[in-house]
Amino acid sequence: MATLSTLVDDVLKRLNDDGTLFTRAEVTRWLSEGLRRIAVQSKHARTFTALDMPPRHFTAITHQWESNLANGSYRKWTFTHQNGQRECTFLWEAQAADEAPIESHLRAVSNLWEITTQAGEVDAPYRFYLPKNESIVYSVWHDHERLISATTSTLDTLEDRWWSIDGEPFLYTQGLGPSETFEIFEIDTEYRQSYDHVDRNQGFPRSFSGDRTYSVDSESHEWGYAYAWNGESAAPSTQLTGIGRRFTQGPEHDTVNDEQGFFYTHDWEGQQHRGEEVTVSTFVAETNPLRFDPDVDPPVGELFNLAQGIFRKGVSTSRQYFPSSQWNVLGGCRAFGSSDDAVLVWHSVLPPDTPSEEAEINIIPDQVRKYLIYYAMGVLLNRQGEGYDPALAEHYNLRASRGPILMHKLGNVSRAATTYTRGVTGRSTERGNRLPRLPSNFPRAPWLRD
Amino acid sequence: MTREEIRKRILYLLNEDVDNPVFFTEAQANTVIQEAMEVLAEEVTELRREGFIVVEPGRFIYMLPELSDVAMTPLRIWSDSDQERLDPITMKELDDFQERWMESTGDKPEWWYPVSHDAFGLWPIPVNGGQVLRVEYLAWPETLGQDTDRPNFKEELQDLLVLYGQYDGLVRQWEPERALDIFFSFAASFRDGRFKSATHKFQQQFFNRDSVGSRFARP
Repeated sequence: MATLSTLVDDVLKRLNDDGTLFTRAEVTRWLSEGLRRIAVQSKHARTFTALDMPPRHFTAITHQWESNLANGSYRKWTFTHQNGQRECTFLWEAQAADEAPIESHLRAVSNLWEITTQAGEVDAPYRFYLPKNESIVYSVWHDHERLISATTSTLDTLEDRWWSIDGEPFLYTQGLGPSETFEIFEIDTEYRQSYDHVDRNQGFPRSFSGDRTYSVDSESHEWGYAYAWNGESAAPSTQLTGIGRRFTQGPEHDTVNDEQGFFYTHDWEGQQHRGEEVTVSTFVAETNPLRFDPDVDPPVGELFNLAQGIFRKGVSTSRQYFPSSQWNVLGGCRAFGSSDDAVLVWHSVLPPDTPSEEAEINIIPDQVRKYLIYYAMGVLLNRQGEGYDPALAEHYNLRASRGPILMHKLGNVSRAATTYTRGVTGRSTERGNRLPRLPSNFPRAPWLRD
Repeated sequence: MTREEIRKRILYLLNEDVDNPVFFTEAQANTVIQEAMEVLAEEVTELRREGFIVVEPGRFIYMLPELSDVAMTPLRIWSDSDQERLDPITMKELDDFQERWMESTGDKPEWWYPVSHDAFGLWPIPVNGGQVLRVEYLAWPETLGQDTDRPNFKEELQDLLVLYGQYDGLVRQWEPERALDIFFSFAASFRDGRFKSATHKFQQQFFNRDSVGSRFARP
């Protein structure tokens, strides 16, 4: 996979520079910006993203300034009052603060999934949070039915407090929330979650369970042997074939012999070894060290356990597992989603805004990379100082401008197809009956003579 | 012309020794020829190729890189198994046609729709799979690997490759004025209608289809 590093070399060659006048970091920055410019202007890269209901977000904040510390999507769940000096949980607090008559108000939640925990309307928009790399939303479906786009002004004329009405979703609106969000109307408050990534902070999924039947198609998905400590796995390969799995815990430092390598099966063994109080262990030692034995039924909820590698591809005859970020083919799957009983968004995406020579350029075809070079050349040659060449810079800028146009043309096939379709739905190409015309010498109607 | 002939002509125009160039190495010249072919392919939209995709059961989105690394955009999809052309459609039209089109399955795909610049979908979702789809696509040029390779352009277009190479060489020699003159000559070829017929043919081939009004009316 090509990285920006090769393009940096190319730019420096064109500039006849070895990094003296133009540093590699600077060239990298402009190449990266050129890539984003193509994506921003052309919107050529589009993908699907599935969102569970109710909407999830990374964190809930009380004050707006907390958003600067939020490392992800955030939801401000309070009502700002008195020029930001006061944040209210309920609106009646604002009334109380201003000594106005207090009225009862709807309940408040910090996370939208809390809507499902109690009955009653919530005074908060049903707001979905899009991925950071989202650019423009083209379509939204709920449970595979397309939602109609609407503006808040339209919804305001339809219903009072429309954002809290329960029902079947049929509209979506950009709403009045921050960018990279949208809201739907009416709201479905039932709690749904397609996949639950257990122990997500431990890394990639190792097994799958659910109401579907899963199996793994890999030659190396079964353990060849089990072993208790590292020394056993170093046995000659003639005796051990396949991939080994250690079924013990540890190793811990052996305080008695001052050596590394105390392996144990039960928790109490470790506690005893460490000189701690031995407690009743809740850990059940594995009676089946291989964990996957064709003659033994697999434990409930764990239908297979990958011996080697990570989940790379999902195949089903009744549905398609589609990589939401199909351009980043390296790495592993960190999140899973489904469009069943959920919200599906079709949107364009942007490349990451972190310039790095190691960054992969996979969001555009290889043949379009030359436009990144043109963009970087245009910017670098237009910089005051040595190497300043405005005429050539302008030329490179012109050449760079073709990149977004080309990708827009390639990525905008849907609109072009609609435009050029012969006989578009609902538009008649037949000429209607001609209106009757009277001869010029036909006498005028008496009431028009004056 | 072969790549070697094109390269020599470029070097000659740049006043370089064709056998031992100084300012413009052979490798650089070859890279420029490749770039020129890409630019030409983008502007003329003349290169077309075809590839085959075998439909997998339950799978409805396919990526162009699966077809070829040089695939630019699909033009026409033909089901070789059923001897039928798949009509292009948009997701919006599918929404208008059927509420839950995403769940519709069938024995064979009938329509295709663009998803991204490098992905397209099939409708209805094929249950059994196995059909062979012949995808005709607009392409970037293949890489010329040897000096004896010839660009897949008409002879009359190959002159433009030389022109582009001369332009790029002049830019590297810091002669922007002459370079821009050459480049304008290169670009003028697209403006003067020389390739309009090819472009027009492309549009007709892609967009010419039957009226969809009656077929898309909801029952």
